[in-house]
Amino acid sequence: MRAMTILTGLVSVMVMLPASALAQAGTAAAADLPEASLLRERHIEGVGGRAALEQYQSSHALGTFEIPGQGIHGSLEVFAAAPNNLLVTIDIPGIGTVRTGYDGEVGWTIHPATGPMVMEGRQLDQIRQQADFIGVLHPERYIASTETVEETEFAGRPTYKVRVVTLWDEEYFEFFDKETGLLAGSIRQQESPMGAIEVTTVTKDYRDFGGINAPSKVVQRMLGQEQLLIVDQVEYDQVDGALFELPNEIRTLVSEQGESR
Amino acid sequence: MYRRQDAGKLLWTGLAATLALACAAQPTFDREVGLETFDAAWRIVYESHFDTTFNGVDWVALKGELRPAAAAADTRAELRSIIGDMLGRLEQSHFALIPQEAADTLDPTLDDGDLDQVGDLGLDVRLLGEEVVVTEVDETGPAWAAGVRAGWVVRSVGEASVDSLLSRLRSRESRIPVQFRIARLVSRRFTGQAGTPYRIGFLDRADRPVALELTRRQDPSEPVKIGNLPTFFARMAHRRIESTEHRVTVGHVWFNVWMATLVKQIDAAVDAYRDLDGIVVDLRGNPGGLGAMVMGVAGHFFDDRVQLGTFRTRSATLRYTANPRRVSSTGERVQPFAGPVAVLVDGMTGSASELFAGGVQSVGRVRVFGERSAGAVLPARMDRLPNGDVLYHAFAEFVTADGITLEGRGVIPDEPISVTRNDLIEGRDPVLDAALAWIAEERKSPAAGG
Repeated sequence: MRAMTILTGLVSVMVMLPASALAQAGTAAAADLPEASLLRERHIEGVGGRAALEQYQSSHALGTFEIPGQGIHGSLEVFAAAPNNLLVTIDIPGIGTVRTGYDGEVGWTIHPATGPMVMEGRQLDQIRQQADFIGVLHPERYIASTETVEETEFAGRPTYKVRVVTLWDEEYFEFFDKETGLLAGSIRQQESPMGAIEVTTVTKDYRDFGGINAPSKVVQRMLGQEQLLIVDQVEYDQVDGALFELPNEIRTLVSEQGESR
Repeated sequence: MYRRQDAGKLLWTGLAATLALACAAQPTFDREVGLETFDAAWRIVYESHFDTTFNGVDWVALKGELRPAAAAADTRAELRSIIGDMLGRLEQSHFALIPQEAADTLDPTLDDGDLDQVGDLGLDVRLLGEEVVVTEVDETGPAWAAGVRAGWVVRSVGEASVDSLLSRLRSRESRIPVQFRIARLVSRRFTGQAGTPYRIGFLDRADRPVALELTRRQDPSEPVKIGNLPTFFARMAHRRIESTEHRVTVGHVWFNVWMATLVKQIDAAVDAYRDLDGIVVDLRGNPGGLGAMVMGVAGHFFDDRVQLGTFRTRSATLRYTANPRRVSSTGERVQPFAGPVAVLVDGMTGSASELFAGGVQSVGRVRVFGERSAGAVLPARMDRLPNGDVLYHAFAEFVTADGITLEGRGVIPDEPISVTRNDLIEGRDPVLDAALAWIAEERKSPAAGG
């Protein structure tokens, strides 16, 4: 699920937290509805299967970030590596480069306007889940339970709606396309330094990136605003692990926090 | 002393439009698109205004009232006037229609050469009593070179007398104070194409009439464009003040607009003054900008994630919190500045500047000096409309940590002080002086940190 990890990682840049990963554990589904675990398996098959997801150790995606209504356009890069390294950069004219990362232990963000921050609490839980390179194959790492709750229309498509509860007792919803079986999106309270923000994420335009069928377009709606993340290109197994090392200012903040405990 | 007013803020209604209109013919007016534009503007506010009572305006009825006029509009100007009327009925700040020709020119990312044409005169003005007075003159600018000094009175700009402009503004109802509008109107006339002459009639410090034709220089500020907003011209200055009278040494930090491109300079200035007796953040004339930047700048003065206030949108309530800055601009570990911080404001201090001043004031971290601020504090977005114009509209309100809504009220200084013309003539800045005196008193207190 590298490509999905890449795309959901982009969310963290603007709302400073990750969108949902695709992990669900198998629990009993409501009557006449497919079990959530089966929906997950169908999705995994749809994106290329377990072997395809496990064939790479790192990825580097390039694309664009837009808030179309506001005329904001930027470039984006997402670096990810097994087991759980993530670095997202978005360069927005007039604002600068926003960086968000997770090195397997520390989640962080550096925004030109607000300065460096180290994530904690639920925000850290969410980016940990997000950064797992093949988290969709290991839902038990993050998910306590899942349940298919209804058939419903989502983003103009008939879908199954799945309620997900994480190990840290967070509830959110995922939507699986009835026809294709692929993840159509999610609705989740994304944590941020300003508090929780409800984000509706629509994943669409799935296409092949190196043998993995992944969404090339992610639309996210929050606070009445829509942002668009487009991936044009993905390279695999070319990422230098040094990229995930903590930036200087984050390392300084982390060492200070360690001493103050 | 006051600093030059935010030319960038004013430019989009002045120079940008001038340049655009000089280069391109007016597009043909399409009534169908015009009506779509009206409908879109109405709908965006209907769907996103943070207050579902629309500040007491029957928003649905208003559409019924104004839509026929929008449908019958024959020109873009007529349509803009109708949409402007609709937005004006809200009687709130941060609702405006930005003309396409203002929004789309002078884009620094396009490097089309127009930016070289942006000019200013290097002076700032305020309404003091009944006179528009020069409050600041940039020593590197054409006004200074021609002998203009703080304390001079502006009597005419171009062919217009300032008295007539003032009368005109006073005859129009507006929630925006006249001192804000006249300063903006006069300053807007100072901006224009670099290299072009502009005539100004002054009274000098001895009240002798002086007529000058000044040539606009190329604006030395940094152009910044964010999305659909017009280009801003960002500038920052800082200095170390050693006051022998008050026996303190403080850092004075001033910037004309909250733009992320200035953050590194501001961070470096705070680093430079970290060991001094106090820091003065001078927001006089600063009309606002990028609200998120407030969290970072405020973080220089807090050791914890202190909540400065709350953003209330229609669907969410968000915390507005200082991000403690425990790392210096060079990546070294530091403690956020714990000493006395004075914030200077005036009637031209608006939006993000008020969010900062009012937010840090509400938790008792700073002392605010000067005049009541503009009272224009609503987080806003800029949506493109079908005809290319941009709708600037608020989607949230800001409430300080102690529960005060700053919109329509402004930040009330802890020490209200007004500058007089005589102060300027004699080279005094009573607002800064009061801040220095307070810092000196704070430093005498055993509890003083830093």
